[in-house]
Amino acid sequence: MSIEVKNMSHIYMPGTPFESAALVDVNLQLHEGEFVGLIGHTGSGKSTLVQHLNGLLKPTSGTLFVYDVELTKKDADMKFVRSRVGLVFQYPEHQLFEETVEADVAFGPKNMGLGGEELTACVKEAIQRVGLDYEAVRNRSPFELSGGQRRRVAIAGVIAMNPKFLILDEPTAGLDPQGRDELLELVQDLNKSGTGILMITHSMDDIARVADRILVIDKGRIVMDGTPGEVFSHVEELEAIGLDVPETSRLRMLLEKEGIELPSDIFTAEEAASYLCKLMGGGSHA
Amino acid sequence: MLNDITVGQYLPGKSAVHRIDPRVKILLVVFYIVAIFVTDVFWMYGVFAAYVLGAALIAKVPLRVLLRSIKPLLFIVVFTFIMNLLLVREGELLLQVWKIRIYSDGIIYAVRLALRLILLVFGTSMLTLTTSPLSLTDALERLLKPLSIIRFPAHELAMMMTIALRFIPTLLEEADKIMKAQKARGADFETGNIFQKAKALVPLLVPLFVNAFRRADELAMAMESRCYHGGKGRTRMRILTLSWVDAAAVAVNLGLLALLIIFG
Ligand SMILES: Nc1ncnc2c1ncn2[C@@H]1O[C@H](COP(=O)(O)OP(=O)(O)OP(=O)(O)O)[C@@H](O)[C@H]1O
Ligand SMILES: [Mg+2]
Repeated sequence: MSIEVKNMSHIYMPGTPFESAALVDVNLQLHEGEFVGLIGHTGSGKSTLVQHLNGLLKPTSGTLFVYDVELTKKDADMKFVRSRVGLVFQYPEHQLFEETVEADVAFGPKNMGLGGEELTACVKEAIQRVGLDYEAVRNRSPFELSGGQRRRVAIAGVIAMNPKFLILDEPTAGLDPQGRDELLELVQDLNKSGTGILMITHSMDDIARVADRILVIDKGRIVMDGTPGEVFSHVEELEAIGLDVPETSRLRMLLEKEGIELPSDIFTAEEAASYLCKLMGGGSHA
Repeated sequence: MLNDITVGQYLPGKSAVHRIDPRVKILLVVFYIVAIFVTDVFWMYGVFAAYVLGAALIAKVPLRVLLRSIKPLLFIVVFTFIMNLLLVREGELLLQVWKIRIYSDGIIYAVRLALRLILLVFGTSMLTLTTSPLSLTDALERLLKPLSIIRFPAHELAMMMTIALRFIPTLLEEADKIMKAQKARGADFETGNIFQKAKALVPLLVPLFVNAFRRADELAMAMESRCYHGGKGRTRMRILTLSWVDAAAVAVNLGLLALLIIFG
């Protein structure tokens, strides 16, 4: 098991008038190579939760194990944990600082103690991985790239550390539809090569399509945990905590009322359309 | 880590002290400061201390909070106290140990200056504890307004202060976030000698400044697109009016002034 969280709670600014409980008694297990989606309303504690998973925040109570390191212990090896669990923050392009793209991407691996040819090789691989032309961008300043390119550079900076589990906090926020699709493809690609993924998102259609498992968090508590099919069959509960459901889930609910069943693993409009066409006796739709 | 820094120390409230017009409050504090530095009579310091403590009582400012405000200046108070004690060579010689001589006037000067500094901090703290930073800049702008005749940029100054105050929490939040992001990439801000620590700050400071400039640019555009064009002809959202609280505060201070004139 990669990450295990037991009875974890987090209180911001304890002992002040601004005290607020952001996480309440969270229990959670993340397995090697899984693709997990984390959804929840604004302020539900998503970012707070993921910052615990590589030791950036300390729980107020409870324990957590990351690759067999007990993070709540004083002498926990943070470097090791952070090399295993990569975290891409929201709007990561705002954290670039080096003069060249290459140097910025190299920051993480260098902190991990990498150097020489090994370093160059992993930087090159990471930059190519995120779909940028290594030779064309390596010596450019990150600040003269476009927003979408900058985000790729920032993500490259995290995957260059070769994490076994990659956490992304709303990686598609503020991207155009094409950029969003490309980013999702990149994440899926990483997952296929064995990296575990935990992705925070507000786009239900996307996450239903790509994730193996969905976690729903509400007011600091994990309230649902299951496959996209299971989770998104609870349309009313999700709407009650301010969450959307994928279009296909809504369609499924409407069809159900008419006595027509749409399999729960269909999450794209195309699949739904061709299934329904077949059902109505036609061939596959053109 | 950055949570420890509180910006301004305003304690919101509805007491009479809170409700004194910020312009009046600033002027009263100026009078108070002049007064404690003018008077030489020791028992007058007691009167002023009672005045400040009374105000704190009315405003429900905990004594602990008021006392804490002296902390950043404690070093200066102690330092000037010792300097005065050792360097003043007037009055009677009271004590001589080796080369150190303590004179009676030295004690008087040292105690007087220490009292003045402490009262100064208490008074100004009462101002910032009971007035929101925004009212303060607003009041300052109005008080400085007459100076615009000699082209003093009162409005611009106040606007800059307001914006700075507004963005300090944002900046701290951002610094916290960038720090975490770089830590996630293995950055180490805590260990190492002073040079290593300074160098470790580069990945924090560069993005912080870049983002601050970007934000300033955006803010300027947002303000301009909403027709901001400086202070001229700009109306105000809050109209300040004087009330009986202000009259009462001024009356108390006239009393103090009378004492000051009579007893020096
Ligand atoms: N540094 C902080 N200090 C104090 N309170 C905080 C801090 N960060 C978050 N909170 C509070 O904790 C709660 C959870 O915040 P969190 O950022 O984890 O939410 P989120 O689910 O990521 O929301 P969003 O979708 O808007 O990113 C919120 O109520 C927030 O106000
Ligand atoms: Mg968040």
